[in-house]
Amino acid sequence: MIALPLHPSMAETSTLPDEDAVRDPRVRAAQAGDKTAFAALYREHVGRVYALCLRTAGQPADADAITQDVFVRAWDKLAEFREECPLSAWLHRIAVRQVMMHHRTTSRRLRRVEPTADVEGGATAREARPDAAVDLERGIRRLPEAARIVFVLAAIEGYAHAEIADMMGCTEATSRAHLFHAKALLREVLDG
Amino acid sequence: MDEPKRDLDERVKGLPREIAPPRDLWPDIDARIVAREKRARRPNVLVATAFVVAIASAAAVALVSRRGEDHDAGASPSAVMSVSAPLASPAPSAVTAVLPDEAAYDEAAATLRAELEARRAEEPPSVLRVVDENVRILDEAIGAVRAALVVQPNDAELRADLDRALEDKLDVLRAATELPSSPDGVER
Repeated sequence: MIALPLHPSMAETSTLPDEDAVRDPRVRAAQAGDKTAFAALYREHVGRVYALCLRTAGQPADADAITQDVFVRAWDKLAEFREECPLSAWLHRIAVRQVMMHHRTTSRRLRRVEPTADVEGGATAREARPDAAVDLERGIRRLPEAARIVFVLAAIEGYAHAEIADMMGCTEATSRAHLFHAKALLREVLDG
Repeated sequence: MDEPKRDLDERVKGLPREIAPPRDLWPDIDARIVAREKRARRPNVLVATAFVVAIASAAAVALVSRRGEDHDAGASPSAVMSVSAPLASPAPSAVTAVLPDEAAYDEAAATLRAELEARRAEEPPSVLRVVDENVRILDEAIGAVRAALVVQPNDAELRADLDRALEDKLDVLRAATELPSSPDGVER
């Protein structure tokens, strides 16, 4: 519906070529309207999408809603997915956009809310992880928004700065600076 | 590699790449998809609105593609004046909220609107015209659905329509605030 000239970085079309991307018949089926196939894709990818939303949103209570938004949006936009990159990368791109929008539209409320719940919201993950990991998760949650998103994408998800810059609509240098800042802050928290 | 750096890197490696949500999110996602598909099939005020917006979209594409020409020719003072007024504001406080999260929608819209107003002088007039028109059309649709809900307050599809119209309005405002700004609002 929107008739505005979107900045290329905000487009949700897949732009990251990956020769290893395997053409998944479930993707084709979902693109043709098969919701059972889409449900299977959801089951396969929800763990990584939720982890990304949980860590980048900063507020565990928001991760649930943002994850839902990601998959509803993905269903709407699936016809535009051309399998030039893995589906997980395409979903991550949508997730980053949704998280950034969420921060933008709720920033005033978020500033007023003192975090009370742990970031390690998933019960399975919480039970499985040692205390050191919990401390690191808490440290990540306390990072400034941009530094947190870059750290999660670069250090945990393994994206290159060029890809992060593309997702976030910033320069590679800015992405590097946020990562450097995030790591310095985390070392302070973890070693202090 | 120094010790603290290695320590952080090793701790990061120990984090799980996947975390299961505390509950199954699929039923809610499925319900939202079904609701959207129902709305898409059902002729209603939003479909009519979508038609009008489609026309506005076509006009917008033409406007954007002509931005260079506009710049060469110079924007007429009357054209600039016509978009210098703030976005038409609905009066959310004047109507009773129907949806439980309407206050959140209104707050998000107000935040985005304020952000857009702060950048108004930096945005090209043709883009502002499209944004203003889209917001006006969606505000009319929201008003129409709200009026229908006064008559049929328990109509689930009307409530879904209202939810969708409010979401669409946020989408328009978000997209507008994400546009790269142009110094002095010149057409580029």
